[in-house]
Amino acid sequence: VTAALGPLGAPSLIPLLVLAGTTIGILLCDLWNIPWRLAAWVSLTSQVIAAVLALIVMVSGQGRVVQGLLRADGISALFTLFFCSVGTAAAFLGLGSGRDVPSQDVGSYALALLAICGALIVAQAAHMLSLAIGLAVVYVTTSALVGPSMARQHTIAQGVSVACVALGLTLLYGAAGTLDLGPLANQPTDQATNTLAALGRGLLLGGLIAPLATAISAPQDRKAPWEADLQGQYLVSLVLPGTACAALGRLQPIWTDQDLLILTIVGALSIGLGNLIAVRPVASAREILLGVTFAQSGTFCLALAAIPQTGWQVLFYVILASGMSLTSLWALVVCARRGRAYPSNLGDLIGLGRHHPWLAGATTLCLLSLGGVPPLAGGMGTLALLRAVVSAERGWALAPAIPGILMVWLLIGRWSQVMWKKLPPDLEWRPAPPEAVAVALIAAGGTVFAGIWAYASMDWIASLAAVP
Amino acid sequence: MITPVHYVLLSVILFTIGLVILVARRERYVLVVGTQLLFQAALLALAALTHWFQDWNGAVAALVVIALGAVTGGIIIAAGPGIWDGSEQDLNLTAHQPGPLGTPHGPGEDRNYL
Repeated sequence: VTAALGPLGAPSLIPLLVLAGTTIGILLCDLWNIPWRLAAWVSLTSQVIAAVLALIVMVSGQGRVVQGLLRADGISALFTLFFCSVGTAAAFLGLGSGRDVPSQDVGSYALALLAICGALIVAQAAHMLSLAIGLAVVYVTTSALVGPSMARQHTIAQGVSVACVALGLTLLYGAAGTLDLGPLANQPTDQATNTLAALGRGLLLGGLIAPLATAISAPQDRKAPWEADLQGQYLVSLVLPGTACAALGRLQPIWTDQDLLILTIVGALSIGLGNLIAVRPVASAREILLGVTFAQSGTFCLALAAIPQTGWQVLFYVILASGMSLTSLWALVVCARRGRAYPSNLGDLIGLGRHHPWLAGATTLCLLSLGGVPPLAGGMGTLALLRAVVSAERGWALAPAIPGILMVWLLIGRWSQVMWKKLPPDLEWRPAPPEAVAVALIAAGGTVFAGIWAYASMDWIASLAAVP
Repeated sequence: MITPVHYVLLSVILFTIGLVILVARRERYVLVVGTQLLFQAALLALAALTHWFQDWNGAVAALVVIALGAVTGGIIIAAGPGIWDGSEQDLNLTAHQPGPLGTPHGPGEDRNYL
């Protein structure tokens, strides 16, 4: 018990404790009916503090690997930065989308923080228990964030995923005799090749890939597309793939060449299929977001499969680029929702460029980034990813992936055509919420910045990921 | 002699049955049974291996798996349209009775899908 609780004293775990404490605080304050805006600002501030603390602790060399339930190192600090940035943007978007709503559910902010906490536990997991608990926390909280009509499907999918992970880790436990992920990852080759371990790895891989697919459940909601809080759906669409990447990456030493091959195939097919869904002429705004998110999850799979050759920097850079682009698109949805109505298809964004040129420019930049245009972050990430896939001798995976990436150009073409059309006289765009516009502009600025200094960014990521 | 391998095989069979139930059925409580089978399969294998290795860490992990299964089942029951307000009736317990205004409720009819 002492060994398991030991790492809780490590300074690098302070960000997790800050977020957990804030979650409990918001839940307690909800009993006294605190205003939702206060909860949003508290949530936002705590995540900024947690991200800054994670960075300070790692840069100052206070991070250390501690074998127990949790461990903290450079990789967990990078994931902390990512998850806290997503959570901050979600809280900010909540402020924007709540302008026309008299009151929002304070509990949703606590749930969002709890989802971030669960994702951090997965990123810092050093034991089967912490991995399973972290995944369960993420799944339970995201089930509540996706909206009532999708909650049950989401829970079932996530339940299957957690059960697969639990049985997979149990079978690996049978093969290696330990529940610590470190020894599990470093088990001898002869054990890794036996049937029990192979079955366990298969279940584990299937269970951990599932969140990449279920991340699309938020925009997939057909009956009531935007019934839940937009910020919650945005959070789900980025936190679930991030959590899956953290878990798959942490377990990277146990994957054999066959497992990485499966991951590559899944990734390449996801890119092609996702972009195909997004560019269909009849695709609704929800389906466009669904397809783009699915395709981005595919790029994560390709980057994960290339970690042995390229290290973590390509994966983190791709996650960063994708996160900024999707953030900008979600900010647009929030603005459009306030401007006229919830956008049900691309045609609802007619006249956006003439009435909100900054917003339209920011989202166009991010779409170009998704389309792989250098020197934007998405373009540089795509180039790094292509190089990584080729260096891993899996160049054949580019056959479905490259056409998939190029398909985004069809979307960009339709987008530009709609955006600069003149708005019909019976329609009107209201002022956009400044918070959402700010989020879109920051995301677009980050896309340009990270693209121009792509190699410097990757070097910085590599140096931080190398912190033991 | 029954060895841990037999328990693991049994757990894999239970897991497969659970997956088949989840794919084939749509009623809420049957889905709960399906997900519980998945978790119980993991629990069975974990218990057998814990006993084999004489490892208390495995026993703690088994408690966590029990809790995860309970939480998942609870959310599946609670989530979605309510069953208490009449908007959903699972398992069609009144299949042998005529419905309101003479609506037939024969076997296979009025099944509630997600």
